[in-house]
Amino acid sequence: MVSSRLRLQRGLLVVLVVSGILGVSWALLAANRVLQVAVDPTPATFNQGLNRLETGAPRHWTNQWCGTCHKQAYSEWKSSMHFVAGTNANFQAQCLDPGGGRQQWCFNCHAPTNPGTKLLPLHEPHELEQLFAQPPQWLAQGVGCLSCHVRDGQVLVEKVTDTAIAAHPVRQSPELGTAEFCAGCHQFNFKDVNLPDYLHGPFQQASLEEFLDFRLADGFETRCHDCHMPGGKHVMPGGYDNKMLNRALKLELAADWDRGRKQVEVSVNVSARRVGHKVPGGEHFRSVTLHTWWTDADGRLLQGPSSEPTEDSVDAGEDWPRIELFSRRQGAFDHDTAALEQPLADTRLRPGETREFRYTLRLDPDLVRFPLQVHTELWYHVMHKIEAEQFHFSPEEVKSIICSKRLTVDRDAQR
Amino acid sequence: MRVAYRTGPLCLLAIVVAVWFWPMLLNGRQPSAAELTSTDRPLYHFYAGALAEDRVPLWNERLGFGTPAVADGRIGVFYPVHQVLYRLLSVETAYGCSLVLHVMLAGWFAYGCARVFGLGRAASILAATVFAGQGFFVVHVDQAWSYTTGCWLPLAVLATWRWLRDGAWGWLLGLSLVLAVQLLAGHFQIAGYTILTILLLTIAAVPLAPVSRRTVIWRGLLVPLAVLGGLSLAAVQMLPAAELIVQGDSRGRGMEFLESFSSPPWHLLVHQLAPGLLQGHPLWEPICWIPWRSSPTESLGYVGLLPVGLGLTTLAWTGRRDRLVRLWGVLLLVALALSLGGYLPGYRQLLSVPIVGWFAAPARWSVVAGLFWGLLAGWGLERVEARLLGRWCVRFAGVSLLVLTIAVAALLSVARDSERFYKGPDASLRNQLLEYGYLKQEIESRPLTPAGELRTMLRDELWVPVGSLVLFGLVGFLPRLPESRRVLLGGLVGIVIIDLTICAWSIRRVRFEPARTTSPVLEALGQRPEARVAGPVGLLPLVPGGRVVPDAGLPDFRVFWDPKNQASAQWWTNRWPSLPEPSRLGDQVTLLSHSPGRISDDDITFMRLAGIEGLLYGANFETPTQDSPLKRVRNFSDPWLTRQRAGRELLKQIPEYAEWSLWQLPSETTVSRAWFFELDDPAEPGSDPRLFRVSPPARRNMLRNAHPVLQVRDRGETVMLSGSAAVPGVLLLADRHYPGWTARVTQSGKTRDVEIQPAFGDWRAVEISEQGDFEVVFRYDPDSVRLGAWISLGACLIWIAGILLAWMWTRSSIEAEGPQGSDEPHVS
Repeated sequence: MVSSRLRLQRGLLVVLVVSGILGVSWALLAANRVLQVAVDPTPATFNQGLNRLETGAPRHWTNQWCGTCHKQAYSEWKSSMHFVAGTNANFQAQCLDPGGGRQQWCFNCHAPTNPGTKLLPLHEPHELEQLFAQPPQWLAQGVGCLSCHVRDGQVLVEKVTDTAIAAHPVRQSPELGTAEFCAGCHQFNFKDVNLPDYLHGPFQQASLEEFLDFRLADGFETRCHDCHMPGGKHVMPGGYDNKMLNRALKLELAADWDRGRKQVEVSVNVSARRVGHKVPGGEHFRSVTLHTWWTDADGRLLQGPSSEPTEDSVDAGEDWPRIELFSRRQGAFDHDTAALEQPLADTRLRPGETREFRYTLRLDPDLVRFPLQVHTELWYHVMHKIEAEQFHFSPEEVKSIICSKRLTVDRDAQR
Repeated sequence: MRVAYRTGPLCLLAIVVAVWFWPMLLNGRQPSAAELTSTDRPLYHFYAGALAEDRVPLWNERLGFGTPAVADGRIGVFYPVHQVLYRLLSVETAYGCSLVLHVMLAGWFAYGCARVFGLGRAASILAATVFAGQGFFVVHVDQAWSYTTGCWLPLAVLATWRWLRDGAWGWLLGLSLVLAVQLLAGHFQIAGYTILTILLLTIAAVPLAPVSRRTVIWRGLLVPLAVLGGLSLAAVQMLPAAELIVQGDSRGRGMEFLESFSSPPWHLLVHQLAPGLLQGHPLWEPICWIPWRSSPTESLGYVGLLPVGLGLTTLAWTGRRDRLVRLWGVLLLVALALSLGGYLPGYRQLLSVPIVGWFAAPARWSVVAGLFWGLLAGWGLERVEARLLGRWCVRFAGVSLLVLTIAVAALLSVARDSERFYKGPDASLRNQLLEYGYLKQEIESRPLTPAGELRTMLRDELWVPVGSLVLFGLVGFLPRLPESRRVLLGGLVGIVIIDLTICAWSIRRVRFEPARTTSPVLEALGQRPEARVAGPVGLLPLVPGGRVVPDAGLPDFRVFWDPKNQASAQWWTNRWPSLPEPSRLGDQVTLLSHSPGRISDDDITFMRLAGIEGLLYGANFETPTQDSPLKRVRNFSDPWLTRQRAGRELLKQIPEYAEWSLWQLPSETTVSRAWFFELDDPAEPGSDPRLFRVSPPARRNMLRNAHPVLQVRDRGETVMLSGSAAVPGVLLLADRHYPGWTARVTQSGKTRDVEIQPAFGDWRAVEISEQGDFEVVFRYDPDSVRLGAWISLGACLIWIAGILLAWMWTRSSIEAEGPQGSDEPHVS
């Protein structure tokens, strides 16, 4: 009796153990599947730097690896500002600035594949100085191929091709070709100092908003790529590219000697051509200046006895050269220190806008050696000189000439 | 007689617990504290409301933009005790019953645990009193998870020990059941600590258990199986919680987060002897808590003066000789060391260990330490000899006074180095001082600095412990102690009960108030249950069945622990969510709630899109300015609400704080929870909300091509919307995008399933591909709950089969061995 019961018990135990093992195995597999499904696909778009980017790429997927097949795109990217987004001197100086830098937020756009998984946007990444002294690959290669093209271990493409499918897993992502995709990093507001994920105030960069204004005013381009990635090129030129600036801006100069009034009259026109945003675009530090001045036949700089600024002239100073500023300088309002103050004027050029500056220079023709020369130059500034000082740059380091014009004014050409 | 023998100690423990909570039992009053009233109880109101509708609340549609209620550790949806209490009783009564019941269970289980370890009745009563009355339960009494989960710890230890020592299969199965129940109670931190404790117990038992090592190793290998069994039994709740973790936003949960709310060493030492010190006066906060990144609401390891003395003496005298004492000593030391958190050398490396590295507030390890203090004290009590007691008292009092002096001196020496020591209070601290009892005139007339108030602070908080220690010492000079051992032990247990009762009544942050709530604000919200509101009111709008978008969330610890930025730090509570939230939209609501002066056009757009119809402000909280876009639509005088949110004393001194107001957007501004966005083909840049990952201000004028969808019927797990589309587009519902939701669109008589896509990063959007009338039904039917339920069911069946088998086995063994045994507990 006892032995049969024992047998029964042992049999039951075996059944129990086997069913337990099978049940647990099934449960673990099923739970794993449910949890995997629960994770949403990582969006292709960026979120204004609030999160680092999780690409899910296999370890061997590096930018160089991409370059083995996509040679042209790779070499274009290597010469782009995206490549040096994490290491260029400007970013480095601003990122190390104790006043507003030193935040994970900076890296989430400038080097999106950074390892700061647990850091909130305002947290300071570990060993920041050390990072820039010896940049790891995620920083050294800035916004790389993976940053835009890989999510969840899949390569994002606008159009799926057989070649792409054969080479690696692909995911069709029409978002790649939208203006919103770029806006994920190129349009953002100021960061609240106490609330990690709260953005507020005017845009620091308003690329998308400006582009939409451009569209409302009959602009036909539908995306940033039309100008910044023509033909799918990955150089993506912008404010740092002189050719791009020359395509974007047009400078015209005309001058005349008015013998009756004994004055030289000059007109300088600056136009933004078909640019999809205000000029200069991008971050609010950037500005363009227009410098105009005179020299006599000996090359000496001329100063007029008096010159009255025209209505268009921003600079009301008496001295030459005259400097006009195209800028969106940030005021207290923008930094939200005094929310009710009005923002400072935005003097940048609107898309398609031509702005004329007229100057007059009164001269005593007997004292000045003709012919005179009027010079005008258009300069691009990565930052204003106040910021340059703050970030320890010399003013020359942060500016570059876009274009210049010179015109000779002779007494014979008088009216 | 036998019944009395068994139940007498349990009744005594019940009486002790009743004394701790007598206003609830005698006068029908209910515990009241800021966090309890405005966080836990409102959640239970939602829970009870759902149960009353015969609904299993898988989704909490009334909290924020919707949350997975079943994964929310604060409710414990499937916890059997909650299922019974909140079905049968009113929320207030159920809450009170749950509190008393669980503290009582804590005592009973600890008593059972002590008995199983071989302690006598008096010693077990002492151990039980120490466990149930320890500082952890005192400072966490306003947080339901603490006692609903903490009480099961001794039962888990008991079951593990019975299995390891006796090899009774029933106890192994019992262990898995206990763990399952503890996990179902929610808030997995204490359950996690329990699992680690029993695993440590298993390891420590190998050399220290009173059976052969081989046997213990063999049995010990099955303990993880019991843990797995517990997890499987609770899978119906664990799997949705795992889903939330997978889905959650883990930013901000790094090392600094995990080390927050540790028990700093000096604090740990001080609180073993003087529980009230650093707990009461608000001026301790800036000098002795914030710089140490901890809080008096999290750290109190007090277990009674006598138990500490007895425990230490036991360790010192018998620790080397007795295996059991060594076992408890090891576990006590591990728990105390882990409660040091960031102050424990090598803790950062330990954070890679599962469970240790999952939760902040390592100070909560004190609950485990409390159990082993109790057991060691019980052991010591049984060996107390009247002839030696006097001398021991003198020595203990002397050493304790010396240690207390050194610890306090060390703490103050560190505090004096901080500049806050000499600074007056900021606005938030001023309110706390008023609440503490300072008069308004007093605060305005003289600079209240920690340096200036130090003498008062020390005097007020040290005289009780120092007096007690002196009395202890004086016992040594008594000419004669009771000779009856029973009287002696009873007297000592009585002293511990009195000690812990004084501790409970003087330190815990709850008042006992009449249950009825008269709040004009809540009454008004109850009249518009479908309107989402926000403001510094916690979750209170849930009480009358309303909806609230809460300001609570995980703070940025960089701000939270900044002594110079405490005004902003006060925006967050000390309660940090133990599980990561799916997203941090809460930041935007925190601004709406706490800094209305900064509300901008973007925030207005956010409110319009999110369907936040009203904002509540009042008491000592900031209100919108005159030129704010918000309009004040109603004023209330609501002293009850002010008492809950700001404090009773504050209201007494500043009666105008009773004023509250409801603010809304101008009537011409449409606010809706659902919007239809028209989309061209191809979509005009900037018009598709699915391409944005953050809410406004990521993009301006987003509503230019959007129309509100006002027909929304919400039944929790089902949301129905209907509207009309002039052109194809996208329907946005400002409810959380979360796995488990499906959508079905009916248009032109055809119904089809559509994919839900995230819009603005966190809300739901579905494509409406044709023009014309449409109806969209969102349904929450998560695979995680379904699979979890199947796993739990399967585990239940296996568990029942296991129990039957264990019973049959035991019966066979008894039959084989013949009738014997005794009713006396087994003593090893």
